[in-house]
Amino acid sequence: MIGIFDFVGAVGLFGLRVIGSVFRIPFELEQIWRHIGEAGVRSLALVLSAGLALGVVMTLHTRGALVMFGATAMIPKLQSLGFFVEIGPLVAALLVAGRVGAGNGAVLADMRATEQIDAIEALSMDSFKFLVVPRVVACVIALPLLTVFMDFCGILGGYLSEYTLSHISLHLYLTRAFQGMQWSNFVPPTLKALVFGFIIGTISCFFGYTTNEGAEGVGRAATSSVVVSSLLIILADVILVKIIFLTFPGSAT
Amino acid sequence: MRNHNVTIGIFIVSGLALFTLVLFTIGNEHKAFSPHVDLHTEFANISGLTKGSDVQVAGFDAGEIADIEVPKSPSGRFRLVLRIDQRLNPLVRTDSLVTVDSEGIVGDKFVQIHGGSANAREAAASTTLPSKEPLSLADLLESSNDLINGANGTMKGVQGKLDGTLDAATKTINNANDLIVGIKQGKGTVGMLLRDQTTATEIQQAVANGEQATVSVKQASASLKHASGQADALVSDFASRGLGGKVDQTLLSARGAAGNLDSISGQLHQTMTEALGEDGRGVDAGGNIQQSLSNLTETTGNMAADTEALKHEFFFKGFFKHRGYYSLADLDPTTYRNDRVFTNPDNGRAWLEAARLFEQTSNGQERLTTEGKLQIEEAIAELGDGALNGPLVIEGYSSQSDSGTQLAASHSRALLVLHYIHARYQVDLRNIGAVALRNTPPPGVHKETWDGVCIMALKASS
Repeated sequence: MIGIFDFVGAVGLFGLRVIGSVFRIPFELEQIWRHIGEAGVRSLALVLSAGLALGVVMTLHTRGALVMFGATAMIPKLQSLGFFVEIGPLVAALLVAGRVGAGNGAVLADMRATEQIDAIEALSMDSFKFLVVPRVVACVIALPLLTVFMDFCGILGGYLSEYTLSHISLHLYLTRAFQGMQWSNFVPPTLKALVFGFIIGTISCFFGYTTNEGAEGVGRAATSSVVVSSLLIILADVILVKIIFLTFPGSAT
Repeated sequence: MRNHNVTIGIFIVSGLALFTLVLFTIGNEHKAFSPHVDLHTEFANISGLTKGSDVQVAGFDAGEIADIEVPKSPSGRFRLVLRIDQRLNPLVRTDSLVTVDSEGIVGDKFVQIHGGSANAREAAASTTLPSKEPLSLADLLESSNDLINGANGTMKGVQGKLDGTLDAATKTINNANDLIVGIKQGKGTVGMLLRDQTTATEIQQAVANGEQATVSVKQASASLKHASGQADALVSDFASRGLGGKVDQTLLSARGAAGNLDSISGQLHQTMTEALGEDGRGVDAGGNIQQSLSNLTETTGNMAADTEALKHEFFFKGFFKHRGYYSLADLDPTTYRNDRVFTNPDNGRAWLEAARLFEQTSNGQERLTTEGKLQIEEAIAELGDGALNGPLVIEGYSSQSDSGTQLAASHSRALLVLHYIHARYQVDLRNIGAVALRNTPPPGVHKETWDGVCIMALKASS
């Protein structure tokens, strides 16, 4: 039990240190840019394919029930609402947690094991600022963008699925998809991905940066990064959804 | 490295572009970036509407609810600010009605602004439009419940009447069925006609004769046609042989013969006139014949009177009594009560009650019931096999208080039963009679009064 609190406290301090370091110079923009490429661009194919597949599957599942109620016109709206509000941010975060979180944990743990971090420190460089902060910032920036891509791929997959069944036009599908849509259905959930990105970056860097157990620690850091990141993302989602409902009452109806 | 940067740049720009696109798409959906007009309306019950709910003008997506002002007291009303596209403003008039509608059963609620009248002014900004309170599903269900209850009551009423009608129809069908069964069994005149082999044979013969007659007519027509042809041939033959003159000569001879015949006829007429002329007393032959017939009639009447006198003459009374000289067609109640022939206790009697025998029709007359007919048939059967071969007397009784009505009712009842027996069994009318005995049976039958009918079969030896 104490171990859990110890871990929570350590991660909390680590996160605060990240936040505090973001606004201190040097901003390490080059590193941030590079890690955006690593976390964002290289995850794009994974996110796009997953979004497309999920869009198709979701329409196949929901269509039957809506047709039974005579609400076929609501299929596009249900698809867009589902992806914008929940599926897009959550699935994108979990995918990135699996890919980027494991990578960050493994790389930093390996650098720690091979004393590369010590070497950086020996060069009078802030290794935390140089290694951790750009990765967390990159995750925070990349994840909302990946979420938007995922949303669109989900809608596109839904359209392809619906088109094969009812030959609906793309224009009508998109019109219905955005009919009655509120900004609160899109902006807050997309910005929710910022938090997910912060969680992924912070947790994965924490396990990689603080581990010093050789090769075995590298594997453990990678595994723990994925497991803990995914778990915290889902738990944080519960809290964030409630916060969004409180902030934007209209989105709760 | 440069390519890597480009890729990252494309990724970021694309993501931001998509984000912006969604923002603008949603913004356009809510007409956030187009000129708009704010109108007002009020509802006591907003039925789940929220800020941002859709607003339609005549079914066209026009905008959204920009704000909802909550009333300060229970008697107050929610004031809605409706933000609509300015292009649709001309459709909205000061008398445009605002309602709360639903997109189907599972759809969202939205505000509908109905098109106003052409004569009304265009609704300016901040105009408060008239509204109609939404009808909730609960109200609708309550109304439906009332409607169903009303329909249920009506159905029960209809069911009661329908039951009565069906009972009457069933009864009618049963009666018809009885009738048809009776006819099939050869009962009644129609049944007899259907079952009587002689009648059927005669009808078949008549049809056969008709067919034969038709054939004969056809043959006659053919013969006539043939004769016509022969006549034509004969006339042609006459004309060809020059027999016209000979025919004229023959006609002259015939005329002479006709003159001779006329002369003979005149002589015959004279002879007849002399024969039928007046005799020495001045009376012609017709008068003599008429007088003879008159004398014959008078003689016959005298003989009838003599015969009637003989019936009551001491010496001949026994003979007539033994032979039987009563006519059942004109039975006198007083004679009937006092005559031992009819009051003989050995006569077969069947007493039938009026309550089971008759029923009242709508015009107050009595008629035989189905049960009554069965009772009559049973009574005839009980009287024995020879009942239908011997004389039958139907005694009618009525227990009406009024003596006139009593007589009429007892007479009517006796006749009803008589006609049924005659129709049912084809009894010879000379062997059946009816007598109205009011309410008092003849002495010796051990009944003081009776209400109904008694079928009496005379004992064969009497």
